[in-house]
Amino acid sequence: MNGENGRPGAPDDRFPPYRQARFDEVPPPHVDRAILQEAERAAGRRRWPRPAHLAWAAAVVLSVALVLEIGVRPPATPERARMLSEPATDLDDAARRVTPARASREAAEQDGSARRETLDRAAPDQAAPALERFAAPVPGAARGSSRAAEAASDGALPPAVAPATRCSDEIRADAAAWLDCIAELRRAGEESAADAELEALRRRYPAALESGNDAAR
Amino acid sequence: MRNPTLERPGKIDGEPRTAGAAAPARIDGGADDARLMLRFKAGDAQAFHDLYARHRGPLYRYFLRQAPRDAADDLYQETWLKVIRGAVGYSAAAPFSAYLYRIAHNVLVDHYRRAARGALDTGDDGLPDLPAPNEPLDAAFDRASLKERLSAAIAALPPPQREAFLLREETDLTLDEIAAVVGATRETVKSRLRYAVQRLRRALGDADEPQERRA
Repeated sequence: MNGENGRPGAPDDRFPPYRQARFDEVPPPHVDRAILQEAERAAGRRRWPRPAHLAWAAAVVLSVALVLEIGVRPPATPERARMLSEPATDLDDAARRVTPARASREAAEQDGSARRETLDRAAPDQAAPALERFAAPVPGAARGSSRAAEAASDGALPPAVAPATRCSDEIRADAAAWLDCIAELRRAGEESAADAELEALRRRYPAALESGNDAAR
Repeated sequence: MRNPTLERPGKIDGEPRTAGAAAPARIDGGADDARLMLRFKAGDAQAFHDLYARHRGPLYRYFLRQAPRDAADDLYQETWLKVIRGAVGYSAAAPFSAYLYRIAHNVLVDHYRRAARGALDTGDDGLPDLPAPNEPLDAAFDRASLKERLSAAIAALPPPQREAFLLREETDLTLDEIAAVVGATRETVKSRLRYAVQRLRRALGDADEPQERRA
């Protein structure tokens, strides 16, 4: 009854009485409903990030922000400790007790030349070395990000290193791999990136996405 | 207990049409199946709907011929739930049909182990099969009679032969893929199929049986 190649399709390939009997039982509707509802729930979970994923992402962002904040803070020198322990006498003394880091942050709001003049007035002895130190590459920038280093040299906080939020061109060359990549993005909580990739996939492989529906009909 | 054949109103859109056809549902387009599964993996629920519509009938009959009706419902549902939950790890390395029926086979084996029983009740509730619309009554009677005798003959097959036969008749799996699903060699599957057909022909009183035996 079976061809040697094992692929059905030839007229004598199957057991004729089985075809004549026309077995056509299908699952009860309540079973269909239960399965399809579970599938929709599962698809929804993959489409939207779970609260646990959001909490994890928030924890990572906060940790990175904390590390960067600690990285730009100057070391506690004895001179600085003495300044902080002295009682305030007038506005000028208060201005002198401004920490180098704080002075640097204030300076970051202005352009370079104006910032240096302000620092010289506020703490002529300490502002310059503090500024030099602040201009040094921060740990986050030392990992190879020249943009981060430039930002640090301008006195601005370096941006957090952005995760890969798109699929590479090599992956995009294969529709199946691309879909895998989109699924990974969704699992990573990159919902908008995944949607953008899916839209790009639809544009590039319209026939590939639509053929499944056609065949099903 | 109700006869599922009578419960057609719950038809899923896109299901291959079997009523009035000369052959049971055939599943084509393994590549399309894989694509649908990957789309479902990426969060597209409609893709699963299409995939489900393609395979629901054959998979249900695969269980219905091998287990009591209530158990078949449970095994069928359990199989699809495993497919849904395992979609994250799915890769298109093998045809989806082979993937699906490998899961179904494992679910069935687990059921056999739990039940630890020999002869299987196929759940025939004795309700008459309704004739298809516009089908002459005598033809409908012949078909219902054939269906009844064939169901009984299939139920009487040894489980390995029965499973191989149903995989052959209800799916588009090749011999090699059936062998992979049931964990046997290709030659073993061929042998099981040959013996299954011989037994069924004998049970049905088929005049072609001697030819098959000689072959």
